[in-house]
Amino acid sequence: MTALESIGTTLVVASGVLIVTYYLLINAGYLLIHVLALFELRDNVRESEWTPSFRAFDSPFYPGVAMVVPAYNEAATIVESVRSMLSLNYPDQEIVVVNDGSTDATFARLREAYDLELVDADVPYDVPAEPIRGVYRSRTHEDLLVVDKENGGKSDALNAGVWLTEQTLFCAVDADTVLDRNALLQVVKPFLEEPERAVASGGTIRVANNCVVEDGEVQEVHLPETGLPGIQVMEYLRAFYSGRLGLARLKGLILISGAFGVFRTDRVREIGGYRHDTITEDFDVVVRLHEYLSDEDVDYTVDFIPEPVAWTEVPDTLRTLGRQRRRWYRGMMETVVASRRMFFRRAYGRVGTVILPFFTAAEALGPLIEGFGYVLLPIAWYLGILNIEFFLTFLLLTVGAGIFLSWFGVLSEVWSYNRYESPWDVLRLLWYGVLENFGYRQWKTIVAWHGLIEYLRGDQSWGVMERRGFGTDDEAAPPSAAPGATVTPGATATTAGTETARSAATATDETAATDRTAANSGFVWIDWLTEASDTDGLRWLDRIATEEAPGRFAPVTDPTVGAGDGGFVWTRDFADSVGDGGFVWTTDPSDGAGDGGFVLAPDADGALRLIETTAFTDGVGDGGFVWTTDPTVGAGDGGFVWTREFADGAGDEGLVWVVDAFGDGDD
Amino acid sequence: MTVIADPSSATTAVAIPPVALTAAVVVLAASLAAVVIVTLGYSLRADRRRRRRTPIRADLRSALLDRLYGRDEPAWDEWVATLSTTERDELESLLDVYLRELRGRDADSLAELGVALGIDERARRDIADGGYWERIHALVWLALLRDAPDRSLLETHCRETPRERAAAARVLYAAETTDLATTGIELLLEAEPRSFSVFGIDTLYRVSETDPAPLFERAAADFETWEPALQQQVLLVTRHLHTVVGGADLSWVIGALSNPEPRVRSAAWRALDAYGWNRGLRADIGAGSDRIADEPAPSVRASAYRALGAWGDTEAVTALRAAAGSEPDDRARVALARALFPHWDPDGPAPGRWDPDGPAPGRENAVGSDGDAVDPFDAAWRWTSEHARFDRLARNISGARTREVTRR
Amino acid sequence: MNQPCRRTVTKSAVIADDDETIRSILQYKLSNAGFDLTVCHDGEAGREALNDPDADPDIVILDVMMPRLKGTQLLRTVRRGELAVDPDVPVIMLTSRGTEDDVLEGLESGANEYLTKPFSPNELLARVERLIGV
Repeated sequence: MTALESIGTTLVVASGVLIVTYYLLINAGYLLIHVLALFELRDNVRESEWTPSFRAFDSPFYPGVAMVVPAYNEAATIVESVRSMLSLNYPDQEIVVVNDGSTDATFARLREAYDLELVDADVPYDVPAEPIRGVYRSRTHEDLLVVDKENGGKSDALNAGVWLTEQTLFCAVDADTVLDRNALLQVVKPFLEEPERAVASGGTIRVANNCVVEDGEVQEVHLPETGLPGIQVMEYLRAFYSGRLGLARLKGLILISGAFGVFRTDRVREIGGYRHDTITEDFDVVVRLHEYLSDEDVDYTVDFIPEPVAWTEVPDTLRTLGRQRRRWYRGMMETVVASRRMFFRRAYGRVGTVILPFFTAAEALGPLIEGFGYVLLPIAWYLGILNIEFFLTFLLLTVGAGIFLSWFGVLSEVWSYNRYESPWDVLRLLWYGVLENFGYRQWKTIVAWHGLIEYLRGDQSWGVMERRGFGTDDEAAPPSAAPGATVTPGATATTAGTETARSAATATDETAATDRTAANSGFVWIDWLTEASDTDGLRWLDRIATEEAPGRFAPVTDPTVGAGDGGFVWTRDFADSVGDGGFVWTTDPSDGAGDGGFVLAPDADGALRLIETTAFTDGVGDGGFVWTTDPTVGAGDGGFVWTREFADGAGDEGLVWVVDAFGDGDD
Repeated sequence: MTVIADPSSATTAVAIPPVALTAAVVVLAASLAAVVIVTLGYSLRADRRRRRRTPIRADLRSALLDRLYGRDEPAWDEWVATLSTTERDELESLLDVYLRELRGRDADSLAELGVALGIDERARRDIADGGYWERIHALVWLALLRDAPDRSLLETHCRETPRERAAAARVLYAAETTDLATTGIELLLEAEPRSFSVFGIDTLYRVSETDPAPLFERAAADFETWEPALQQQVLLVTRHLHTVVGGADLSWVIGALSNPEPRVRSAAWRALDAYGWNRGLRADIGAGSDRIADEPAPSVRASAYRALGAWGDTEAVTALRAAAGSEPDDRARVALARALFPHWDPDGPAPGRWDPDGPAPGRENAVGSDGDAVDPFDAAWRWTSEHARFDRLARNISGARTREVTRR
Repeated sequence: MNQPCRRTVTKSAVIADDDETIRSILQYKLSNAGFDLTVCHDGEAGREALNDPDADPDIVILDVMMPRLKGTQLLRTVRRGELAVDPDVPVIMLTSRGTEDDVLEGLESGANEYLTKPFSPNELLARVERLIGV
């Protein structure tokens, strides 16, 4: 054996030992948390069984709650969502919907359904958020307030809501979540028991896929049919029924889901509200609350109530799920890094000394180490040092312990609130618990590594993406930038929204000049885009128009080389594209659908950028690109369409967007 | 686990003692099996229970209502005697639900069903002998049955935790006993809790509604020694007792206006807003304007404005107008505007500089006469009046749904 | 707001409450007192029942906190004359919402009577009969 080999072998062996030890410790920690969770659950069930004869609706002392609902492009569901919130069972409730510069018909739908009218007055106080275009109230529902503001992302929208309400408590809720009717009554319990100390309280999130939802309420609870959502049901159960309950017992609850959490308005204002540059703003706000209140030496408590449930749809494809998880991973890394001063400091109680470090070790580093372990195994085998015992131990500690903990989570749920009533469903859940650890778990380690790389690259694209949409279905957003002048008349990145079912309503937005020629076509002017999976390039081109990262158009033959999985070709036939229109160059901005288009304009520092404008004199040359379904509209007899097939256009090349620092596109 | 690293040998191995490994596998397998069995066991049991109980419950419900409404005499005892244990259990749960919704003769009749089921005796036994959870469940039952046990029972066993004490006081309230106020206040305040839960405050309120004297006596004596949280809560209760206060001594409330804690001061102002009619109190408070102007905390000033607005007489309104021009804090200003709004006289001088017939403030680049930007009070005023308009609109039940433009 | 004295024997009522317990109590109590009942599970059902051109109830009993359409909203629609039923039909609100603001809001919305839960069914019946003018 050569020296190199022996060094290599020693390294591999040492790593193996480390990994196994690491996993032993982590799993011991998890087991402790799960067991504590059972105790907490028992207390919780007892608490929820005790219902004094005091009537919430009669008592002038019940805290008021404002539901703050940030909404971006939720036209399909927003009206029902608000209706379901309006019929929640709670004495003193107001609803603040914040329309975060939606580009579809979200606002129009709300306005029509609830008879909204503009409040003819400016907001008399400073609200730390993007400019508010208008505040609206309903003429029929006096507890509904709708804030229409410039896009700023979810944190920004939440802040607008938090600053505009006067209720003692606010409940941050996602626009597409469905709450149980009594959920609000249940989740405010900590604020009833200890009105002085309670600052935040969270409920459970469960998977709504395949549940029957009618009139804004989940009428029947079913397990999803397919594997991936089913595994997620398992995951969520474990995360909430074991994870959060255990952490709550340890007085170290650092996570309250942004889809359903109640907070003291004044405390959140004191810490400056939600932070803009985070991806997982819910995690960040709770950790900062801990930090602030410990610094101020305030006696406080953050609680988790397992009974109230908010139901939400989870991604059912690996692609969308992967994106979501990478996003979560990056958010976690950010928050953990930002809160590093709390680590191991006694001043921050258990959160600092134990919870944060354990959480980082288990959730942030754990998957990385496990992934490394999976890589190590074949290397060890190749080097001939892998023996069956080590392999088994590794499996035991990862897969075996994992199954045990997952099943423990199911046990907790069945023993307490038992929402999945059919024993058959419970059996399926147990099976998902197995599946979760054979394949899914391994896949998640890849996601973790991918997420880490994205995080280290300082991938701001997600942060930017969040400014436009915060659904779980976001496509990858390649960094956008000003186009270089490699192609004449400049491949203006105009975008068109191809209609999907959801965006059918986009056309009704009063300020969008929509082209309604075909039943399924609809163009909205560039800055109102639809979140459609098959309009990748079109959507990201919008980013090009507004963002900072450098990039340029390059002619290539392979459509997948650039950002996104397609590019622009020049053609005379617009039917070939994704969507039914394209961009033509013209001198008259009103030629296309909408009343403007895109031009290349030099920036302050001389770089050429793509800007949307109604005045074509702003740009290079005396024209720009507009979107239209008629190729003959512009100068010439054709234009640029976006497509994944470069053969569609004249010639066999197309223009893809490439980003300077990174040759390959991101997805 | 031992690591054998032998550079000369072709293999290096991490040898894990097989014994440990086998033991681990066995333990894991056993735990997994245990978890599965227990989980499925619970699930099956719950499912079977549900299937059995649902029809039983439906039958019991109709029988219950039949007896309650369909007959002159419900004859609970003879009915209960015919029921099985499961049925009695289910009936108890049903009874719980109905007792919470009813009052009056029907409720009394149902309470007799409770006696027939033996709940009252069981509750007393639980209080005397049971643990914490049994006791508080028993107290809830007694409150539902409106059946107050011997005070000695309550005093001996139900004083440990604030919740028990509140639940015991609640029983007295439900049963409408004669000593409700005295015993109730004693139960609740004697141990000088740091603060109450919402259930506790509500109970304190209900108990004092019948006779506020014990509460006020104790407050007058002990207020200064209480924790700020408790002080705030008791002040909140006082606010709701304004119709029954009679001639009780409220000097401690006035004293609280100068309390070092801002939230106590705020609560004191809020407590006073219903007492505008009390000339004595008003005289003690004084004109108020100085107090308010010197107040550093904006939230306290806001509460003071609300109180003045609630009082609504000329003196109070004048004080509000005087403060309108100089209030520096945004939210307090809105509170001021809200307080002033119901008293605004369209024919009188407008608050701030806003002229209702002139250009709307804040909507244009209006510049004040001395070159400053628009008076911020105007913004608060406009905001308030718009919201009031919407409140009226939503409640409008007249036939025509026309847009209201007038301010009054 | 009282209906003129009716000569017909059958009296009819529309009840809307999402709570099964309350519905069962009202059903028993009122049918024993000789009423024909239309029972609704939530606000929307109540609205449909009141919008039925054949419906001509003598009394309407509404809860406030109902899914799909709140009692106060429904009441306001009735009073505005937007439904087929007589806008002046006597309405009793029977609800857990018992704070002062709620009572005022209920009365402002056009309720003839406002009863809070827990309630006495006998008292309710007495008020119903007074409103109908029997």
